[in-house]
Amino acid sequence: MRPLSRRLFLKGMAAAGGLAAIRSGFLPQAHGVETGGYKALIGIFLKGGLDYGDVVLPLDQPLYTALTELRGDLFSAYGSANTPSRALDALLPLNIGNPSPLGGRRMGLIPEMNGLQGLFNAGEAAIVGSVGPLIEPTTRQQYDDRSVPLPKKLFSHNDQQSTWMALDTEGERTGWGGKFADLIAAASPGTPGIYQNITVGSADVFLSGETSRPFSVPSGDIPTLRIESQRSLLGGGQGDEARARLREALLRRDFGADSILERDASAISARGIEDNENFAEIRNNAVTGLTTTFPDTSLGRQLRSVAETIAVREALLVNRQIFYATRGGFDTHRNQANTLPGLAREISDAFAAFRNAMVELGQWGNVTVFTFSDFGRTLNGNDNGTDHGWAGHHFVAGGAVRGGRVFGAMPEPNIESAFYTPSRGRLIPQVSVEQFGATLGSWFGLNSQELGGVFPNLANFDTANLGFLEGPVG
Amino acid sequence: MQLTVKTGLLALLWASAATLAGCSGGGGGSSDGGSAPPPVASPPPPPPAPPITEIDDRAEAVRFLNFATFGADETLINQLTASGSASDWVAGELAKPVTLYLPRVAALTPADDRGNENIFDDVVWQAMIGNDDQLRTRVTFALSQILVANTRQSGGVRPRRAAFYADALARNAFGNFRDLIDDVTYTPLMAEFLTYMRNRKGDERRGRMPDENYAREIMQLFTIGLVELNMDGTPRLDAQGQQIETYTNDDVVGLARVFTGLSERGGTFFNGHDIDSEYTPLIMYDDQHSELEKSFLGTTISAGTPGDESIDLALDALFAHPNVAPFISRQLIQRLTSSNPPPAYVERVATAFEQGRFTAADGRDFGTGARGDLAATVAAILLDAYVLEGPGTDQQAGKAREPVISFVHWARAFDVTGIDPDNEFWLNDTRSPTDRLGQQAFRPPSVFNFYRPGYIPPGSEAGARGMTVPEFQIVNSGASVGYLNFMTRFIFDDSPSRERNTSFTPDYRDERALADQPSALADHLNMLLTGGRMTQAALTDIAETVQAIPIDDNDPEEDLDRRVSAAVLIAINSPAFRIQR
Repeated sequence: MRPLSRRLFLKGMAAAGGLAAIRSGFLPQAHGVETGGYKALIGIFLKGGLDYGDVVLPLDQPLYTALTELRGDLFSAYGSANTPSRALDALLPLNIGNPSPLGGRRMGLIPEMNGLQGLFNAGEAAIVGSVGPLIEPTTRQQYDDRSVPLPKKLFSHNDQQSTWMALDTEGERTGWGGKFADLIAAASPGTPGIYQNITVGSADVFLSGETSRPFSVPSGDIPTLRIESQRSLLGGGQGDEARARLREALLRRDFGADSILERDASAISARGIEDNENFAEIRNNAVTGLTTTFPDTSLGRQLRSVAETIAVREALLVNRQIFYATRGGFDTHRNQANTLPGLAREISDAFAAFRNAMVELGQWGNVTVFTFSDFGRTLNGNDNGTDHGWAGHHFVAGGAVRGGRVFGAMPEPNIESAFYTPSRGRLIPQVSVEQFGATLGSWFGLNSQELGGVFPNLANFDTANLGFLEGPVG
Repeated sequence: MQLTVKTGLLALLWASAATLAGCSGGGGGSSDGGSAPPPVASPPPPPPAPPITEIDDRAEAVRFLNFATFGADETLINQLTASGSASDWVAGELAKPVTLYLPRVAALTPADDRGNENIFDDVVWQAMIGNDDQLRTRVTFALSQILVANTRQSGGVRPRRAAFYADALARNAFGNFRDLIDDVTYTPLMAEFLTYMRNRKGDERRGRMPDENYAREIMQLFTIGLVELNMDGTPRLDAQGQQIETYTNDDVVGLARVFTGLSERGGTFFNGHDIDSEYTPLIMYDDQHSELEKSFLGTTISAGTPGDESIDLALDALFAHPNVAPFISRQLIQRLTSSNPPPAYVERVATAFEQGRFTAADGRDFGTGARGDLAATVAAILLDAYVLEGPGTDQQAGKAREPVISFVHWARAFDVTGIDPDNEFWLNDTRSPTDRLGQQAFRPPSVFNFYRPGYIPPGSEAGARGMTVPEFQIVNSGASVGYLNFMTRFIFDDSPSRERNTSFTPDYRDERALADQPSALADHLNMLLTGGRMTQAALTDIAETVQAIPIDDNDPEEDLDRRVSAAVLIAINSPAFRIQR
């Protein structure tokens, strides 16, 4: 391990108080957030709208048949060559430890999701059913009558992505992940906090707080300035003075510009270079010894980056982290039978590999991984695809998850029932995004007052905690 | 409401006409007119201001061209400085014939083969760097970010299909918006991308409904948007102060029936299409088109109406919506001149769209007078005081440049030789933010483009003021090293290529001549790239870095190149280059 650079050493000194506190397990708790030990939340956003109905299927014959009748062409497509089977006997049974919410109905995962099936049946993963944006509890009648306030711009991708991440439509500037980070940072004075919320996927609103902002970790090498690493560009040793002066120029924040955009542009650029260099130095110096193999897929690479970052958490001077990964391709209006199975396998395999890496690091009990997405999709098909819906089912996994159970609701596939909007069978949420987020936040260490501040409509629901994580349920 | 807006607009037009009259009066008129002479000598009246369309110097020329093209180059700067009129320049660009993509792509593609995956992208780089009709090419790129289709995401690599879509944008860039949405709707690329290719009418027996994808996105993204707008692009509010959504889900279900029955020509609805069909308009197979009544946005198309007629009526209805002018105008402004356009600017441009006509400050008329005229709209965007008078003391003014445009501007400004993107491994895919540009033309990640027009960047001064800066969604901290490293490769002529040093070679002769005068080199780059907008700090950075590179008197060539390259690297990272004002 080479010695830390002067730059990093100075940063470390500034934060030494924080570091010592982290190592000894204590932190000042200015705002009441519980910040002892290490905990991480990892959100995987499935862009485009996951078709929950083609991931978790009923195993009881009449209900399975009802589903195939709603989506005849889709099931036909699965039956043809080159597509995986969706035959009833090919589905992977879930051993549901709390059968009563389903009235004893049985559910199974599609064959591509054997990794998640394993986690579920081992009690390390759960499913939260019928979760979606709501202002207050909403019945079909109330939806039809518009007699309760509804989330704005339902069924629109960008707006529902923003609503899931930031509780309002596009243009909202702070996400609940970022607000969690704000509260953690406020309760942890003296820690740098730069590497507290980290995106390994796209740069979306979820991790932006009032004060905290996401740091972006790429899946491969951490990029640093080529003009420095490729010394020949400025003539090797002859170029040392110029290299130093050039570096100063590229890192300049204050140009004396009388333009807001220009000031922002230089700050963004300089901050990006500095944060990358520091992060690269920490990650390259630390010996992680991580041996778990991750699948060479987009989510596999992203979650490997998360695991490698968690492995160096102490050097990053953080003991609460929120990660954000993204995968596109879920807007399956067409050819769903050819695209969704591969994506589902990618999700499932990435969960399984990440679990193994966390077990290897001794951190599985301290991390919670969850999926979220624009919306669910219509229960009846449009030929060989599905259209935009509302609520969906999502996975949570981790050592602290009350696994092997289903939370929320999983209604029967009957679009005439009170669980769906008319005509296309768009599932009406039975639990809200805010309850889902608050349950994660409660486990993460936020108290009820803080959760109420992050989730403004939480008080409209009968419980703030859906109970899928260990800890007090209130 | 409508009446008030129109009255306001008339008043505005009247006022600007009066101003014009005052300007064109010239300086010759005596003002005594026989009335009582003032007792004391008043200062002479100020000379009448020349119309703002006048381009006075190189600095103004560079600033204007950076908005209207993929970056000023020496030839264009000299031409515009000599003519002295932005209005003439725009008129000249509008009159140029379109340079089509398809013939160039076809020339590189075997007739009996769908073609190599990089061919279209190569032609796009060549067009942006080298097309003579720069304004149309720039507007085409802008339109590709409004009527979005990813050219590679849609069922296989089809360079000619991509080119046919790009040509629909290019041909209509100065035409009428109604024709534009018609042509785009019938392109095979868009139909694959938004999944209405072979979209069948519903069948209750099979539980099948028409695919809603295009019905939803053509309303949300291509024509009217989600909420009702004022002419200035701000949302209209109801009596409770709430925004008013333009359509409901029932409208989507109704409109979805319209976009059924389309498929490629030749063969049948389902298959048997030859290669030619991918670059010819889709045709309607009426037996697959919904016979049901189609009801949406207050329009009802009666049961049994044939497919093409249904589409025609539906596009008419969308085009007639009052949102179209402000919705499209604001986004076009954002792609060309302003990340956060002031509402009054949006209203001026939307008025040109609505009236199909724009009169520049020098009196020149643009447009046919038909609503939706894009020539009038584009002229109104570029010949507005927002652009031609400069930002003044407006700290919010400006446009964050897209990384693709920053790179192309470098290539144009330094007149690269060997515009052979096929030789450059990195130009095949510039989408990675960590070691490329974080953007590639015609390959946005989704129908929501690279960034959203309403994006307000968190953690920034702009964000704190509620300014939209779409480009900052990709020009962010995670991408800053990637941009610099990508540019370093090309600026130092060090890009990974099939045959080394045979393509994208910059011509730094003018700069080399100044390499031993660091301040002069800084001033030269400042003018060439930003129209003289760099601050002293940036100029000092360039000069001092250049000075710090020693020159070996025995072999000065390489060191002179290093000086120039380092100076250019600082320049393209300077806020005056990355932000246009």
